[in-house]
Amino acid sequence: MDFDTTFEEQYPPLVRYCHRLSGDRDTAEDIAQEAMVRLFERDVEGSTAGIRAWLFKTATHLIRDRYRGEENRKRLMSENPVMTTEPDSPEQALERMQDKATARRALDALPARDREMLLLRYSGFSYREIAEAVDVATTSVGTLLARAERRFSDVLLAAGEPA
Amino acid sequence: MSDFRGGLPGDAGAHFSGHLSERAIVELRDGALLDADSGIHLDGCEVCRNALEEAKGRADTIGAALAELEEPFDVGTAREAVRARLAGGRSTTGPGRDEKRSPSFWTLGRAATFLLVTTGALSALPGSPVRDWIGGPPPQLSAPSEMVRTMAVEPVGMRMTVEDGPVVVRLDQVPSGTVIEVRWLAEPSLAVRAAPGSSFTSAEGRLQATIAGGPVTVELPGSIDEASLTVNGRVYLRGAPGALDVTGPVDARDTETIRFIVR
Repeated sequence: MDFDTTFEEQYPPLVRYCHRLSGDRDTAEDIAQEAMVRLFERDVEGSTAGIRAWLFKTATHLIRDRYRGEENRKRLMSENPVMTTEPDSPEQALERMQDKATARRALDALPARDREMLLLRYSGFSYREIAEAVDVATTSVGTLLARAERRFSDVLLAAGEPA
Repeated sequence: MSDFRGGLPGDAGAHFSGHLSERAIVELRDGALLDADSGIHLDGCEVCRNALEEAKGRADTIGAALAELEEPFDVGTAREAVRARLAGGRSTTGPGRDEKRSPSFWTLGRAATFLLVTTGALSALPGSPVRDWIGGPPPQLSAPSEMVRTMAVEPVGMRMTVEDGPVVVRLDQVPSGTVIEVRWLAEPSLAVRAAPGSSFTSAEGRLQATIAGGPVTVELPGSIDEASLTVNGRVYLRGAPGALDVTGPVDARDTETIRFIVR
């Protein structure tokens, strides 16, 4: 397994997934790097897809371990800065920040397993791979995903409605 | 025939016997439901075709929302950090790996979080409690090395009080050669200061700075058992209960201070 090729292929989607799941960029990079280290230390072999699935599953479990306390995770999810010395003033930046906050809130509204499944699905994993990563029956994935999507969408819709 | 029961997306609890379930619609959309009966039903049922289109639209909406969470990251730096760990092994990537610190250092307890955030700008306010800190003496670095960047003017910074962990400090765009001194304080205070022009943002337990120049001082609360310092995407140190993992380029250290020189 070539280190550079594997890293270039696997790290970017992995760190994006970790960021969405953890809500924290530093944690995401830390977890993604830890998973990559374990991959090479343990000489995990397989197809590109198989290695990808291994990495995402490993990262999912690492994040679960780190944020075993739900309050802890929620606290880190609240990334809205208290103050910045160089505030972004354009309306576009504000709108983007609001969209980002809404997306986070929508993810936060999901139970942990649903959140993992949704993010795995939107990272391109098959139902079978999702089932394996989060330890559920493959036949349950559709039901759980449908529920997760609905909850996620409800938060987005509510955010878009006039107050 | 599989799963022809239940309500449809957007039906708000209504039940339409004979239509595909929400689950089946989602599985069809995702290519996970491939039985012929569902396809046949779909061909003849406008309600289910509309539901499928709605599900596709919802997927697009969710995908776009998740894309909003994207933040840039440096693959090259991460690759080198992982390569270094693999080459040296975690136990040799820096002095102090897994050193046991005194219980008073990492395990004094956790309580509710919170805080006060202050910046250099506030130091100008008369009577500001921040004034002393921001305007205080620069960090005393013993025997500065050749690479130490000097700073003729007072640093700017941000400080927050944290009573619960973990705390995260992230420094970006730190120039090569910059000295970063990390100190642990007895009080529950998290702070970063650096040359004027540096910018700072914070959230609970997290302080992020874009560094215009050094030296940089990072103050960590000794009462918190989980903390990390990341510089230009590379983890320099990470504290876990009972252990401190130092992986950054250490220039000097003593019992309560570590000085790094960014390479």
